[in-house]
Amino acid sequence: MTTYPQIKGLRIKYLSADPSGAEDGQVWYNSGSGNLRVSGIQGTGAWSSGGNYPAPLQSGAGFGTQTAGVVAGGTPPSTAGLKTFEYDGSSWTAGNDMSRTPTGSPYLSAYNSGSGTLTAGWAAGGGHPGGINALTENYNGTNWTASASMPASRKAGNASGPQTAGLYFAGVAPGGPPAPTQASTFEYDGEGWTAGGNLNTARTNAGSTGPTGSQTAGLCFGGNTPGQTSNNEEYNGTAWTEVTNYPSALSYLGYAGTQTACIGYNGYPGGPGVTAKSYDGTNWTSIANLSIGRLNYHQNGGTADAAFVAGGEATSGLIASTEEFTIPVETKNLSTS
Amino acid sequence: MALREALFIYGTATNTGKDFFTHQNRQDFFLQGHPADVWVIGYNEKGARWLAEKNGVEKTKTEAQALVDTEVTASQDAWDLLSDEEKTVLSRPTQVTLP
Repeated sequence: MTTYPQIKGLRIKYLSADPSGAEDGQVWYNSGSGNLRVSGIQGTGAWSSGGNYPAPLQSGAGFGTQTAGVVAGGTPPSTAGLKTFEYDGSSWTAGNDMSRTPTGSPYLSAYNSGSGTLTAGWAAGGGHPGGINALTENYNGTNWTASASMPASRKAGNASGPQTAGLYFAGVAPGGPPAPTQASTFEYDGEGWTAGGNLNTARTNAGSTGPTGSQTAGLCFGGNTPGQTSNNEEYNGTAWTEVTNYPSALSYLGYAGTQTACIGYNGYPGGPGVTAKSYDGTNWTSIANLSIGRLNYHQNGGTADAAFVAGGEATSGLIASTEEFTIPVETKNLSTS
Repeated sequence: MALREALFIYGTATNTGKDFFTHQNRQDFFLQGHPADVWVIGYNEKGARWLAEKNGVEKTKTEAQALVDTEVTASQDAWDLLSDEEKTVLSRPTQVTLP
């Protein structure tokens, strides 16, 4: 370590205690403990309980971050319906209702999917139990505003990316039973839609990149074809390509992240399951399990290191609990041996 | 000690939301939630302390399983009364076997 100043070009600060507000990668010597210290090291990720959602629900649209999240719509119609709740990382606060123009029916919000941020979010599709629709709405942190409808009616598909460069893919179209699973991708610019490339495997109830995904870097894994699949595909803005499969064939997965830093969790069958996996763009790795098994219907948001999931369908029915996944950033000792 | 199984502590506690179980709790002991507010907790000191701090009530595995069974059966009965339309969007609850 005597060569550190030569390698780094900086001298190491000699401090009596760890500094507050240290930057990632900052190194110093703590004379109090006698340790060489570095900040910004990723700790071990784990799930903790979040504030309970105001009522049990499933099939709402989740988006935003762990400390500025949104869940809107869903079922049952009486307690979820058109309702919007915002999450601050601790508790849920009621926002204004979705519009679901033109009818305003709460039955139109079940199985919708959303993405974007608290102040620039969007949600599309849905319909309960029949009446699948193509409705799209934008959220500005206060109000929902009707936008151009998707090119076709869908429910239980995946929304990913920001309001001005989003993707909606997979899901089911009207018809059946069984409802026909879809391979289509629609690209959204906040005002209108264009067609994108088709998935190689049509599916519904899949995991994907979430709000932090992009129109040129999407991911779609697992889901129902109608049977469960482990298939995983990446989108580059034009076409979907087969990549490393999810470790298990599961549907109703929770998800968050980007094409190169993504997590998938929960799912069916297997409980509902409590397992979780992390994807680095190449491989899937097991991470800490959740405490509560649930079938997830897109009521999730955040990033691969700060995610949330609310509600869903557990063994005995709908639940209101929230879990948060966090990988803490820690300060650690550096070994000089 | 008599109430405890070899690997797990069984108990009931109401999930109060934020910080009911923390990131640190999850690193300290196994924790799995089930119907009827039943929790299966890793059998160590920190797990036992967590249940006590949450005003939980320790159960035998048999008692905990009975609570889960009762809750699931009630949920199944409620599901059976749903309309056919409602049944298309909700799965019929299934019995759970505690670990």
